[in-house]
Amino acid sequence: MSKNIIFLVHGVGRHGEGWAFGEGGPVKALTDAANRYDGFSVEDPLTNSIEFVEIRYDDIFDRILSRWAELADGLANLPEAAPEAIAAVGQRLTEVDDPDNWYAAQAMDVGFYKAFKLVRRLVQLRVASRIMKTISENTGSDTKRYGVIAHSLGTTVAHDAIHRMGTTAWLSNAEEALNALNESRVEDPVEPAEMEAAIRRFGRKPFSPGRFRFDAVFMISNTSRLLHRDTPTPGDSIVRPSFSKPESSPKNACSRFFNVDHVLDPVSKIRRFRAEEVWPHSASRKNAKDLFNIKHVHDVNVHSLSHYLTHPLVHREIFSTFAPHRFSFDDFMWAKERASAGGDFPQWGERYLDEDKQEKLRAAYGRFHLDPEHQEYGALLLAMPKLFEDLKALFESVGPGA
Amino acid sequence: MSPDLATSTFPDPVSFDYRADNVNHSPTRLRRYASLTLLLWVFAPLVAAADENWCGRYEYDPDHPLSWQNLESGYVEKGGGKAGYRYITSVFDAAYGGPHWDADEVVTFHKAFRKYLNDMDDPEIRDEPERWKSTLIRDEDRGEILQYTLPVSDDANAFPAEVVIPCAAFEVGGETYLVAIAYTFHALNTAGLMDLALLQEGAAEIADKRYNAYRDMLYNGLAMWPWELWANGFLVKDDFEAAPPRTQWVLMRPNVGLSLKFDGLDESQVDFAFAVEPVGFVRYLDSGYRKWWGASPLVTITNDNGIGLGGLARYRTFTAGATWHEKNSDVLLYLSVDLYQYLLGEKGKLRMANDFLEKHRDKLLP
Repeated sequence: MSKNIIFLVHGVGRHGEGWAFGEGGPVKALTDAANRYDGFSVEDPLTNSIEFVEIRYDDIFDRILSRWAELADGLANLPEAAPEAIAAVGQRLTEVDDPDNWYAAQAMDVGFYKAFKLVRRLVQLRVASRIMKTISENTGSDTKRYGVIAHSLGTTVAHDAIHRMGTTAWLSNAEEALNALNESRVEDPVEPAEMEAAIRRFGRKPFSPGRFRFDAVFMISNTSRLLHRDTPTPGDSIVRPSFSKPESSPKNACSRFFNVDHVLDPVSKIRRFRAEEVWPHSASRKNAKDLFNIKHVHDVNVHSLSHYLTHPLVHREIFSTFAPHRFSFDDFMWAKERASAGGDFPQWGERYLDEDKQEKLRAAYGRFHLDPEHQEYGALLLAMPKLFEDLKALFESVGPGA
Repeated sequence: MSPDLATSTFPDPVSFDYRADNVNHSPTRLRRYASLTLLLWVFAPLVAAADENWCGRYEYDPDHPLSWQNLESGYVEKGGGKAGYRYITSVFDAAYGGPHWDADEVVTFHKAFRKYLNDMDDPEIRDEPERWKSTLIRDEDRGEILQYTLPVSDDANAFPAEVVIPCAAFEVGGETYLVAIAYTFHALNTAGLMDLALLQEGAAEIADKRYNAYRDMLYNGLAMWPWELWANGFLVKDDFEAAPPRTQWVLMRPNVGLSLKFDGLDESQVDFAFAVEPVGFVRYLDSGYRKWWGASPLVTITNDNGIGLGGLARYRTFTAGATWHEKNSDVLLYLSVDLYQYLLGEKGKLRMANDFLEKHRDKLLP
């Protein structure tokens, strides 16, 4: 059976190979959530209908950090006459490569992406090329549906990569493309005339919106408005849904756009993206949706991707788009009931039924939201170490999820 | 499907006048058709396997008069492209003219198709088969629909039109002309995407190649300090498809090397020197970013000889330079080697020796 494809793009922090499929990962969260509905079961799980393709990029940051640490090691035999500041720089670079450095693991990724164009380009190319490769291997099967679920920093990375994928003239050098193609098609080489004819017909951007379009993009805890680089502002880029703008030819890279934000999640509140405000025409046709009424606390880390995906209002959109034959319209409507008052999906998880704990969580997360200085990027950078310290303390004091 | 569809007679594609398309039957173009046929032959089973249902529950019917399986041979016979698309829509028109000709969905479809053909001649737009793809919407307000977003006007201020096909149309007794529109759109989409597959594969190869090139620059090339990494970002072209730069700037680059003083046997001395290259460059010699040469002015600080000014040249991981030290009015030789890359890194000599010993441990040890 042909499966629809969802690309998963992670957020900040360290994500090893197989991050999406492990215990606590998004695939497990979605599979477990699906099993609550009649169309899915342990014997016939969600993954029989959807192929999840995990995309990693955090190893790039780790590799650069390691190279910095190696450079710093090269300063080991500093002569006494050398300025003390040099030794301090070396020491700092060695510290950030420490695997136990929680701050480095969380916050450095953002700095890397925002500050270094070379690193950003490598990350965007990694993500775009993985997506393009998967799509090109499946083109010809037009009812296959494609989607992206991106989280936190990954929303920025996915936004930038998708925009680049669709606006780049990949075939500007047809000869190079032909050679690259024929290297992988030794037994069935493509003739130059064939390539030229195809380019005449479709142009040099075979992933532009009219030639490829995601069925749905899910931006979970969206940071793209704050962190995007090298691309137009989210809203104006091609990463937008149908009916987003009047124009003679559609330039939208996805049919539907879901912007998901937990009420307590501090990360996406800074320069928050509001899809329905930016694209009112899409919103009126249900092609753009802000899912902002997500307020369950079943884990202390409300920012976690898996925690978001367990919410019925979130996963019902994923199931109905990518596994529609197993997720009926009745299931779709029931999912909403589950999340409403009296439903079987309560706001507070079992571990957080204690009101003191609830208050502690609200207060801790509230600190992030209410401080207006965090709305400014510069102030945010300065405040970041404290923010992360507070967050870490909160996690330790309240304990993990049920 | 409904009996009127099953018994409909379709126009003979041969009787249609496609000369207006100025079909070129050159050997090159004929070869292309042959490739196209081969592609279709390869992908046809895939399409049949994937087309399992509409709205997630109504089976795709390969025997429907407007199914891709029924239209494919006519499309190929017309040489694909514009003529092929016209053939597909002509079949729809022949079957669903008359009572539904004025239906909103049919009118919008015709407007959209006319615009589509015009856009195919526009070098900025060309052929965009994704336009014919449906979006499944499930929503409390709109129910279950297949939504098609179709530009119908050249007016830049006009929103695309919407053709909505309720999923209920696919039920027995539903609106057959709406179902026929869905099949027609599906055929238009399928035909175009198959022809597009080659280009998408080529683009994916280029993207992969560019990714590998940037990775090689950052992983294999001369390691950059944070400020160098930032500064070298300015060498990266905005064109995403462009290859990475082959030149790299060196900026305020610190290092520790050996400062050698040759002044007769008694006076010769070796000392650690802290070196800074204020600015310089590196030029890469191979596509894997493993070989490079470069040059920089050099400032060194030593314990015994004070500050020296000079220059250095670099080849791969080796650097050699000379500095003038005013304190002793001496010229000192400066030497350094990137210890990590040369000795310890993935391709470093010590690592390679260690790997060799590990591999042949059994043979070497008694």
